[in-house]
Amino acid sequence: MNIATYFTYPIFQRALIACILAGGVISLVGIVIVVLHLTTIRFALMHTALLGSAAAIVLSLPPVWGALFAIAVTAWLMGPLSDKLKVDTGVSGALFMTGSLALAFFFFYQAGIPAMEAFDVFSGNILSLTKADVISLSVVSVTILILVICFYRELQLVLYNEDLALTLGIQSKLVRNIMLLSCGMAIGVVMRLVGALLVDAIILLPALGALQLGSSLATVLVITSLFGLISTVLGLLIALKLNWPLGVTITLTGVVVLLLITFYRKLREHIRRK
Amino acid sequence: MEEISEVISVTHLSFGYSSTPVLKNLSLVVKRGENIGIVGANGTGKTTLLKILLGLLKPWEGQITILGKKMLSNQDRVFAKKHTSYVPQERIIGKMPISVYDAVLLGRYAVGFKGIKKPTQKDRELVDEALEVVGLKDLYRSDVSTLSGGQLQRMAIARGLVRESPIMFLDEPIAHLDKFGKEEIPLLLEKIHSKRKLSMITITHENINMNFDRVFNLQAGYLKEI
Repeated sequence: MNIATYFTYPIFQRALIACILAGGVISLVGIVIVVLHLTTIRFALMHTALLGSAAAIVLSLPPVWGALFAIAVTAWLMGPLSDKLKVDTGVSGALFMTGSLALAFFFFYQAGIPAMEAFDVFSGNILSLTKADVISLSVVSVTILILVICFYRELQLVLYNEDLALTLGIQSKLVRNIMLLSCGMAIGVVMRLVGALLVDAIILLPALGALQLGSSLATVLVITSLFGLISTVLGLLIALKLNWPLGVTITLTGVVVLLLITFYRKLREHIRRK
Repeated sequence: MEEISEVISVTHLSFGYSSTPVLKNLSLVVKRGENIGIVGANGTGKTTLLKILLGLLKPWEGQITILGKKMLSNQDRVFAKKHTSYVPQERIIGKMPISVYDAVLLGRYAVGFKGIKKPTQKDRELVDEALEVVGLKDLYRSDVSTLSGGQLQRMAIARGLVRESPIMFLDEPIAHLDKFGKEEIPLLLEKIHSKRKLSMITITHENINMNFDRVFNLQAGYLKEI
């Protein structure tokens, strides 16, 4: 089938919209995760999704709702809890991760839930997206975009030096907690696209590439968005053309883009030194 | 703003962490244009005192007045942050790429721009002027990660200058600098002090070659003029 023909079908149209939003906008939260070293936290957030999913199954609700709710609550609690306990967010992340996993398995055992049903939240498929999925993806994308545009300088200050931001009158903790919540919601919606194991392809890889090339937050934002778009949209088109698995192809495209950027940066440095 | 002769007044200030007192019954008055040095070994509470003056920590007891305003509520502490400048020991913490120009411009936060309010021409002119004063004009496009320790400290001073505040707090301005840096930074600060008539409060744990108007020693929680 011709590629253009694919996009006459609603499932492919939804997939394309999802790729544009995820690659172009959702990927921006990766900058926060990389710069503020929140990689442990993103892992913790994904694991709390399992608990939410298990709880939703017990309550006869869609597992995805439970997963998203659990991620949002954890993301919102993690920052203040870390402050209260005076521990690093990585430590509270580990606490949430192990605690939520143990609780999820407790649910499976006590309520006799088939574990694989709950684990479904970890597997995503961009071609199985519903209209509701695209709407939730759009809401999260628009929220992230508004936050970045309206609070660009606050974001820049907190990413540059959180302590300095505090002395200049920014409520650094609030900004950090809003960032954590945005990251949580982003991870939650992206898990539906490519599955939990491949979330990093959309969330981390574009930001990692952009941070190698950008000279300011503005350029890093633009480059992240661009790399994210290339990875997701090109990945989607390649997968359709070659009939390859979608999530895997998007991830591999992201990996190739990152490798090319790294090679380009090294080459540029080498030429400059000469 | 009305000209006030006593820009900072601290009376009977006490503070501690958990139940351990760090600062005990401390009083201090800083007059407009005064250059004050506060010395003391590491861990004596110098930075804690600075954080209280900056409105980042609430004292257990005592009263603080900044530019005639008593620090009682959160709003008062916002006032303190807005009308003072803070020069930290500048360190590169994250991976965030940022130019020297932008890092200095951030000093205009809350006094020039905030949220959707963008930096104005005045903000940019102040940055240009401050970079000129600290001798970093040629490096304005460089990424901060390429600067030496001394250059980073000069950049932090420039960021303090753009706030146009009458009070400047300096936290260990020569720590971790090489011999050249330890000589050039005090000279630069003295030049700025004499030209701009700022009230400067410098805390340091090591000998700094500066002509302070008064020097205090912070030891065992007590502040004594020496």
